[in-house]
Amino acid sequence: MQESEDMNPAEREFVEALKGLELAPLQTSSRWIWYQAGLRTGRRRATGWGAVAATTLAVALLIVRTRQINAPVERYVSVQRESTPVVTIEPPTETASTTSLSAEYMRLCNEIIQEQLESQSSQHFSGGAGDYMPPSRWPKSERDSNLYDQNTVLKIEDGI
Amino acid sequence: MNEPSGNTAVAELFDAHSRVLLLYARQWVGMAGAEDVVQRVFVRLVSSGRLPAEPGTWLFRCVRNEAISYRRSENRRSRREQAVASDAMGWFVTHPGDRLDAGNAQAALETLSPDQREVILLRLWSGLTLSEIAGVTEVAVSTVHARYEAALATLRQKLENPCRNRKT
Repeated sequence: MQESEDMNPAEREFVEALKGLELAPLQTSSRWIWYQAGLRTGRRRATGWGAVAATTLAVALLIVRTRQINAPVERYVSVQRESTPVVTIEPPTETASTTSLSAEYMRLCNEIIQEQLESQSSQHFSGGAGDYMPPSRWPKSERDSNLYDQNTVLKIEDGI
Repeated sequence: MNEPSGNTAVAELFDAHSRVLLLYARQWVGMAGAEDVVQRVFVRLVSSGRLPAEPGTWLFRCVRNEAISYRRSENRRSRREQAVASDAMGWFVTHPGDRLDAGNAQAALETLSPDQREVILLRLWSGLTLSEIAGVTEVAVSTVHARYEAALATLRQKLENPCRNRKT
């Protein structure tokens, strides 16, 4: 479909006349276009590096944030307790121990004395002719010594 | 896309096509806008660092798309600015030896429909074939041929018989 085959000489001449018209040139020079192209390329590179930097920063922040979220958190819990009376356990005092020791000692002494009394009383009740001899008739030395024993027996009975 | 054969290739393209690209862009936008459009296309070509497979067709297609886009954005501005810019410079440079008057040729071209004018410009001054024009304008080759024939007949009627046209 070539239009030149269909055209007569007059039409062809008209077309050549139209083609012969000089077109208006650009106000812009080719150097200006090169300059603009370089400027645009520079901006694009700068923008690219900026985008890379921004992306890197964003990724770094995301990683740090993620680590912070996943890290175990130390929590300090404070419980307010009611004031309780302070129970002080006093060490065993010397008097108490002394008391218990002396009580034990006295008990042993009383047992011994009791045994002696029982043995003596059995001798008195079965003394000689089998007559009962009250303590008032006992010899003085023996009576004094038993006096203490009687008091002791009383004391033991009170303790029981 | 081919590898760039140096800056000379782009410079040759600029020398060969810049004027007709300017005229082509002026079909949609004013003079200042057409300058911007052609400049943007060449800046894009230089910045890409590669030459297209068919540079001529690529340039006209880019200028067409860029001019249409530019016109849409320009609609926001005042029409008066566009008119002043359009009238600042004619489409052709007047020479005493021309067989046709440049002003009349421009006036005749402006009377054509946009589709016919586009085809005429591309066929006469860019050197593209009808099939290439069909590729640029995205219509069938037969449509391009029909538009070209109709546009040529109208121009002949207006430019070869100007007095008869004025009477009618």
